[in-house]
Amino acid sequence: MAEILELFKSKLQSVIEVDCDENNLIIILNVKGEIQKSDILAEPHEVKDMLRILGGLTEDVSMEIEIDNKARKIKLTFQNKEDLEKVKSVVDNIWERTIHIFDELEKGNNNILRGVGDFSD
Amino acid sequence: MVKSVGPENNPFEALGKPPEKLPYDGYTVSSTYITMRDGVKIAATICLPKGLGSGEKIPTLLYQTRYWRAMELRIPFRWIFDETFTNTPTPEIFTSRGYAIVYTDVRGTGASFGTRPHPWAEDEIKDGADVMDWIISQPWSDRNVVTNGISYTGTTAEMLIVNNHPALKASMPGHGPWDAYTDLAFPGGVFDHTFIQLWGFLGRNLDNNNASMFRPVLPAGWLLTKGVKPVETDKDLSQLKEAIQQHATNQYVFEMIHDKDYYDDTLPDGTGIDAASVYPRKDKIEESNIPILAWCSWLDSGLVDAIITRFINLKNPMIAILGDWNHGLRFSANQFFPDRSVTPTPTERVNAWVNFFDICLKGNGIQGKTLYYYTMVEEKWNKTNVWPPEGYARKLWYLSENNTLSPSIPQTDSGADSYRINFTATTGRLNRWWTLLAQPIDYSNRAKAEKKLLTYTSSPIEEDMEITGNPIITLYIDSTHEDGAIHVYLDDVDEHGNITYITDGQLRVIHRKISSEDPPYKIMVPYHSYKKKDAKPLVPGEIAEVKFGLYATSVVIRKGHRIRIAIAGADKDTFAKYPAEGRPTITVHRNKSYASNIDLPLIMKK
Repeated sequence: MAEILELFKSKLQSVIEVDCDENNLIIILNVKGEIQKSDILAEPHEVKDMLRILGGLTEDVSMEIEIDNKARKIKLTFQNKEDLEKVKSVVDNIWERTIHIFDELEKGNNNILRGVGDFSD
Repeated sequence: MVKSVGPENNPFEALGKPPEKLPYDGYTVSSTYITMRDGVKIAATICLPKGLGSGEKIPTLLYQTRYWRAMELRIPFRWIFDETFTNTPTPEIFTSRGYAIVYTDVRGTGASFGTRPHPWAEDEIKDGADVMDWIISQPWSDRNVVTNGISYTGTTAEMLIVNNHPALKASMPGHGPWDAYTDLAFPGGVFDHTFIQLWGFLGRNLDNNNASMFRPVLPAGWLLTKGVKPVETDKDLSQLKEAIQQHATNQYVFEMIHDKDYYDDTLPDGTGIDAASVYPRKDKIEESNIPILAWCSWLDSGLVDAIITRFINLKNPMIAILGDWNHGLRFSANQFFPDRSVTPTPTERVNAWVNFFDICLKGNGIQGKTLYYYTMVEEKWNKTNVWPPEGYARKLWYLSENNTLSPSIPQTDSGADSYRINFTATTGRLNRWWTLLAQPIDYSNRAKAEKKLLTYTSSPIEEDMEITGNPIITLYIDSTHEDGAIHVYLDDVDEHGNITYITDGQLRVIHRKISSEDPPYKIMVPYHSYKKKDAKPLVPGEIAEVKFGLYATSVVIRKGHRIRIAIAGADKDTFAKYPAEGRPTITVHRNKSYASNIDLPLIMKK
């Protein structure tokens, strides 16, 4: 199982590239790869759910979310540096945290999801 | 033929190695609705090898499921997995080796329209023929279809044969039932209420496209998916919505059978439980002469006996495989080596499947029948063309005084042990029945669990003993109550007193009559009809014979180890409680006149 999770993490890390422009208060997620390329990249609410449930973003951070399906980019624009840094910290650790969640669930520790709320769709 | 032992008996090696050079790399994914003979639309996802030349034609693997043929994944997962990634097989290996794959939602499920009266209903089976008609009309099809699956999909793969469609060339039913009553729902006449109830819960929510139900039972699934994948042309989801509305009239097994007691009880639609069984279709399956690769595990519910029953009853060319893994082959289930990783690996497994299909389509085909089975503790594959393997004998061990098991029949006229049924007794939630929900198998708690049971243990045995086949237990009991269930566990006890589970079986005592009629198919254990006319309550205080088979196994008991049986009247976390009220005391008689015993099937090595 550990091997599978490591493979899972390396896929996430290789397919998603994160660019941060602190001066313009922007974080961009570039999604590479060919998997399900014709599908909608993401909806804004999905991005917020991902940051909250997988990333552990507990605060309600104000951000503008723009999705470019063709370029496969998700652009997050913040109002202040503090908010950017909160989300950047989450994004920097999100795949590690995701793997940890799946590992705990595999061991039967469902409490790892306690308090994360529900998906918004 | 005496069974032969050796590395050449590994079925995965016998099926050959995958080619070094794979003809294709990558695959395309598309989806569509296929219209059935009665207008019902079946959702299909089609995976084709990338780079398929114009005019190039290839065989197709058809995989029919009720568990969503494709998933609408959440982010970030849909960025790294395609929509079919929870299927077994996923597309990579088959497409790289030159097969198309068509995954379908069976009618009444997923994104397919229609309704379902019960699993594997007649219309669902016929739909397979209509789907094959569609497949062979496609420009990329060479008009050959093969089919496989595990569990539900294993049975759809077997039922597909019934259509006798000329395109179908081979079937691979894995971990599938032969008799839905005895193998799954009412093993020994005892209702497997936990699995049937949970399976019904799962099915109902899948059919309603309710992914939030995963959260309490399979939270990883809740994180991964938001529902079934719509067909790609259904942009506004109107067809998916309409399909799900039609599922509202689906019937579910738990509601249909939870209050039933007998094999011949009628269900609301007028059919019986065997409407969901494979065996009534035996003649049609044989008529097709389709080669079959059937596989399962020694520790998978009652499905282990289904493999053997299929092997001894069907005339089709067949490879049967019995290993030591869980339901679905995700985990090793070998209780003697609990930390071991499962073998074969997923890649080895899927390549073996493709090899089998290649042999059937392009090679010399399958001749005769071969059963490969893994003997635990010996840790070796064996193969045989007959069952039981030749060189086999049976040996009785008698329940004796001081809770012992003896190879000698008791000589006393009296001798009995009383046991008040403990309804808290349990094998837990990682047993051979919970594995039907893809759980791992863990019986490591036997020492603690069997403190609540009535046990009998032999002296250390004097030489290694291989037990291969179905043990048969004969108990002479009287009870304070008219009804009850007897569960019997067979264990190995090592020199240090460590107890390792081997196998078990159960019987509801009202079904204890051994029928004088011919069973509907050949079996290796005493035949209980489970029919109403043969059912008879116990007469309290009157001794009755309770004789039944334990599930087949293959294991070596080492010299110096001891054999143990443990008797229970309940398995709280899995089976229904009998009787519903009251707490019986049973007396197990073990004397010259009523010599309760366990009959072990042994294999004498060459």
